Amino acid sequence: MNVRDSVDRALGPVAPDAGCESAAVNFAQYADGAVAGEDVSRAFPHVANHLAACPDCNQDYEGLVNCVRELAVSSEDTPPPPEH
Amino acid sequence: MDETLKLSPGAVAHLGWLRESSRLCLPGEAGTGRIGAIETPALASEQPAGGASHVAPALDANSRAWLAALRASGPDKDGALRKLHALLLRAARHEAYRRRPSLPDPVARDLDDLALQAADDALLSITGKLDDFRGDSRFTTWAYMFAIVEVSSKLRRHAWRGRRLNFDEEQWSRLPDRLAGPDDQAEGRELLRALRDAIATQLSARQREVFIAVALNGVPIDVLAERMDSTRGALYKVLHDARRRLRACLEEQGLGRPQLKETQ
Repeated sequence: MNVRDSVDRALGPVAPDAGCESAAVNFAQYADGAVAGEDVSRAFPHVANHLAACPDCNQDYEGLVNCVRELAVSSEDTPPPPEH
Repeated sequence: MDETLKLSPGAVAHLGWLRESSRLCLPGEAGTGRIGAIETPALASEQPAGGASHVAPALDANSRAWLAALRASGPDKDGALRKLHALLLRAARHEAYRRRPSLPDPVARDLDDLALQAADDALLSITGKLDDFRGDSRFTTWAYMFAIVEVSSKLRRHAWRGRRLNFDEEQWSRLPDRLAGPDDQAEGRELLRALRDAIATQLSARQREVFIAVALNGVPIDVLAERMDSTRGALYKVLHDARRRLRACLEEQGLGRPQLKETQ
């Protein structure tokens, strides 16, 4: 990584940014869309920009997507049937 | 963020909703550094984060079943809570073990305990926020998110426990030496000198601390928020403003990068 890249990385992307709270509100929808192959960065550009700029949120989002992908539908994904 | 920004009625309504619905931390835990209460409107506050107004979609059958079970009473609710906790624990453990290779040994040894704590906290948050579920994702994805945020925050804090955060002047005054390699040309070193000077002269003390810690030294915002008795969202805004000020300063000196202009 050269100096320009290092500085650009430290300064983050230049784009409208949702901020942590607003991005988090959309994480679940964003993750479901991403796993389904949708172009979520186009549908949610402010969330995409935030993920590029906020390391903590990006790490959380990566974890969520991985979780959705890896923990495929199992019996735990459905609530127990009513007892009566 | 532009403090004088005029919000559209739709944005105001959306932000009002956010204030009520997006508090992911547990009751009484605002300020712990997790995604917490909103102190300010969203940074890109002209429109909702998705860029479009929210229209509540129809719930899928599985999500409806979860909501019905969790809103039931007696044994049905107890059963749903047990099953939800199992789901949250599975997600928390999955995430904890996925990140195990990057964690220091003392944290790696505590993964199961941390995952269990995260599942407990996530369950408490979810049961208090069922009405916030909008139905625009699967319920299980929404629930996973609480588990991931909880376990992620615990892992970061555990990993940084006892480590000193250094905001000394030395940290940024040696910027050219830290970031520039032996092969970097004079223009690269000029860029670094300009950045170092901008950090010294253009930022407030708080902006300087947050920028150095997060952007230069890689301190997780959650960890910094805990040390500064703040929240992730509040410190991210400080970082965002600091970055914007530094970029503007570099651009004034002809050292900016080709880029799209911010819309605000």
